[in-house]
Amino acid sequence: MAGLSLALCAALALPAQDSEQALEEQISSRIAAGQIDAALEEARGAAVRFPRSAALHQLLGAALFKKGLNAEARAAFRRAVELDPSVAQYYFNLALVDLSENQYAEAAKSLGACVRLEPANAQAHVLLGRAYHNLNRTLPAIEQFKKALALAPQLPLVHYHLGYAYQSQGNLGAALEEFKKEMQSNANFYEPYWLAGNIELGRGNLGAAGELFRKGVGLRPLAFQAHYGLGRVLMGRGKLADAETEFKKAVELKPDNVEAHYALARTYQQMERKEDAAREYKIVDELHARSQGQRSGIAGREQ
Amino acid sequence: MRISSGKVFPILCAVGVALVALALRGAGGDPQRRGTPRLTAAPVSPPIGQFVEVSAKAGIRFSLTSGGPEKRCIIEAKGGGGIAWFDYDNDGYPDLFLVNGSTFEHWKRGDSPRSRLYHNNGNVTFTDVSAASGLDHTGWGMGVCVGDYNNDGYDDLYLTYYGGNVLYRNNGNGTFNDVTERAGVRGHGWGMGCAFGDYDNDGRLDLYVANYVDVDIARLGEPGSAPNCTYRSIATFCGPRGLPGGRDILFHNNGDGTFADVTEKAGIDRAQYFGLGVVMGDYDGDGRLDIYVANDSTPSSLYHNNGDGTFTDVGVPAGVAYSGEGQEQAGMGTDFGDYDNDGWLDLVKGNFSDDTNNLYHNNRDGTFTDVTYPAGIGDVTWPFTTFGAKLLDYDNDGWKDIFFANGQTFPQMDRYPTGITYAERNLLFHNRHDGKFDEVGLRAGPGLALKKVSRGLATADYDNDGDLEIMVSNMNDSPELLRHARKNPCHSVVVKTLGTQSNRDGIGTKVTLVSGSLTQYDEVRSGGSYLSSSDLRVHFGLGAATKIDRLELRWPSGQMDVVPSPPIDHLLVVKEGQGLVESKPFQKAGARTGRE
Repeated sequence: MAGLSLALCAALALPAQDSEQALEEQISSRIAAGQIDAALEEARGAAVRFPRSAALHQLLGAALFKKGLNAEARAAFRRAVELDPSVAQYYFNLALVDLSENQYAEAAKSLGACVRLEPANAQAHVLLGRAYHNLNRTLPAIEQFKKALALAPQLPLVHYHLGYAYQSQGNLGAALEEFKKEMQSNANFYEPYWLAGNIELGRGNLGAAGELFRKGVGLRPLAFQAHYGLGRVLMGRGKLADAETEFKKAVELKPDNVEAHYALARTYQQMERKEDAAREYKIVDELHARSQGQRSGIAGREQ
Repeated sequence: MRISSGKVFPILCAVGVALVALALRGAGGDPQRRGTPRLTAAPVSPPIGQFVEVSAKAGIRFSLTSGGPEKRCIIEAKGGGGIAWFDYDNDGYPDLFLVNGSTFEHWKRGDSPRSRLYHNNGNVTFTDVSAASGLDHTGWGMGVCVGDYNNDGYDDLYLTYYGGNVLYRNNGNGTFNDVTERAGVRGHGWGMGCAFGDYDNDGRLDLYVANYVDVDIARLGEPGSAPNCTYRSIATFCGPRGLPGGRDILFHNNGDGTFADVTEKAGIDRAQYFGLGVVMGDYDGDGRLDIYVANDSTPSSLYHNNGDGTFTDVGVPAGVAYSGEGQEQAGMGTDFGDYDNDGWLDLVKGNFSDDTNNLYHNNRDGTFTDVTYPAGIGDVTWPFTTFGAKLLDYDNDGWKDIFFANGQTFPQMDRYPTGITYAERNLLFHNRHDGKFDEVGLRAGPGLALKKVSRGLATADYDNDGDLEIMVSNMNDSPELLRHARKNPCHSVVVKTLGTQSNRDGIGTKVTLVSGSLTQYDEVRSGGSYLSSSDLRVHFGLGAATKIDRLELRWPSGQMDVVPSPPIDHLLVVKEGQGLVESKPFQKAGARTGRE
């Protein structure tokens, strides 16, 4: 009787294989359509029904990640990897969760596995480079960014990340080149403008620096770095009143920024506005003192 | 299904992003730099210096002991390596003193390794004469400075230590006595850089001592145990941030063999920063010695001498407390020197990695401009951790170059491929005569290609041949004595000062040399760089000039002496009030025995 029931049930139900595929498609569509709650509910049920389906666990992880339920998402992705360790994408998604929580060592492991399985995955190389860079493995990070560019020269942000890595080594010439390339291919991305502007400013190229900072301000009118950088260009050109305006904007945007207050102090000093300069220098000192206190907390001589 | 990574991940913030100094040579010019003489770029010939390392051949067998290989405590990494060049026996040849550190085991047992005194034999070799010298104190040695504090004609030594410093009086017969207690200069805490100078122009050398942190080094936290026990998220020794700073000390020479601690009265270091390098110089030309202290992870201090026994820290408004962007830096070694030959003392400072060193140009109005990047020093120095810093004319072309002695503090950096390593090469910046410098270390001979963990740095013309040699100390390793492999064809002159009304060494004397269109300026100086003291004699390269029009000396007493047309390629001795009293030609090439 039990056997007959089972057979009847089996006959009445859709074939297991089809059902799993259909669920995959349905959940994927819901995620793509932004119907995350519905996708999550379905995915949870599907994962219970098909506990050995790597793909469904992967989709469950995706839905959980979209909902910000990272711990569960991580578990779901790990399960997918366990069930089918040959799929690069599962490692990639697992790494995304780790990266979102700054777990760079874990992310690097997953991404390493991903690129071993799928060496042509440019995006994985980029993320691996980011993980390495955050782990102080700057040279391998640079290698990964270069691999990504070789695979996909137009991939957004890679030149920027590479430039940032060069910059952290003090290789400013190479950094500037990369930032410029990023600007060419990704003209509305703000970050490279002020970074490149700083490099040009350091080299004394006030014209080039000014242009970059102005573009930065144009892209992001409330961005601190561009106003601050522009202020420094203007100061370098002796346009102290204009520099003051920019530094004041910068201070408004970031009232606790030491550099902006210092620059304002130096400007006032050149304008011979001694009281204003002294006030700003005092703020600089106070900000530094505050940051010293924030970095304390180590056992020293017992008082 | 791939999840798009639409998120922008957090950007690495371990490295400070603001890199640049104000570029004040733009089209509008720098309003602060008034009356700056126009610099012209002379054709730059390939650097002549070819340095070779000769310490062992010269008979210097020394290894700087400083803790264990892991550097789990700040004192193991930061401490020690002081070097002094001084002619203790007045035979005309600078002798050498090397400060030694310790390990926790030795220090606790009280049997720390000894510092060493090497007598210059006058033939490019040295003899270790430590045993009979009386320089017997042991402890965790740090720095040294030189000065004839009692004006008896023999240079004395002041040594800094963790836990109390030592003043050695030179007896004039090859021996020294520890007169610390009598003189009242033991100090307190953790002494680092020091310098002798007559800040009140009373004819007697006073003493400034920088103190670092005020802690019991046996009771510090473990690496990585707190936020300030990491670097780039890597577990390292703790500090100095988070530790209480030690207050620097100013000692006034009473003239009777004793000193008075006038720190509080003089207004010194009320903030108790982490003091390291000390250098004295009259940066504003008012006739009084000022003091610059390179502080670690806190604003550096420029103490303006008010002329009434007090000082005011004007570092911030003068523009030399912070980087050009207002950031605190880990200042270590420092030096005054006029790199652009405009007659005003500029300032150089070494800092930590992930930061540049500083070159501050004197604006002649009491302020400085950070010209690190415009001068070409920024990019190159970024990954290096610089301790020793010195302005010197290594190629005798009449323009001061810069030498940086480098070495990380964290051996752990070798485990991470960041481009920053524990052992580093030293850097040599050649002055192009136009306000800019080229780093030429890798073209300046095998001695500059060495990678060590360097700390102290001091210069001297130890063979009296007219060019400067460089001594560098290295952690847990032998030092480097860098000597020119071939004779420098440019001319030069070395000036020794003998004070009569002023202090006997003539420390603080302003020396101006005029040769044709080139005017050079320097001061007789004790201390400086990192925990070290260079030859007190003042060296001037002359380039292609074949004569000197005149030498002017303004003594701390106010006395002015002019030496018309002194001979080139000579060691000159100028006595206060009497002018040139001795002149000896440089040692010839034939006497350069022991050359590689």
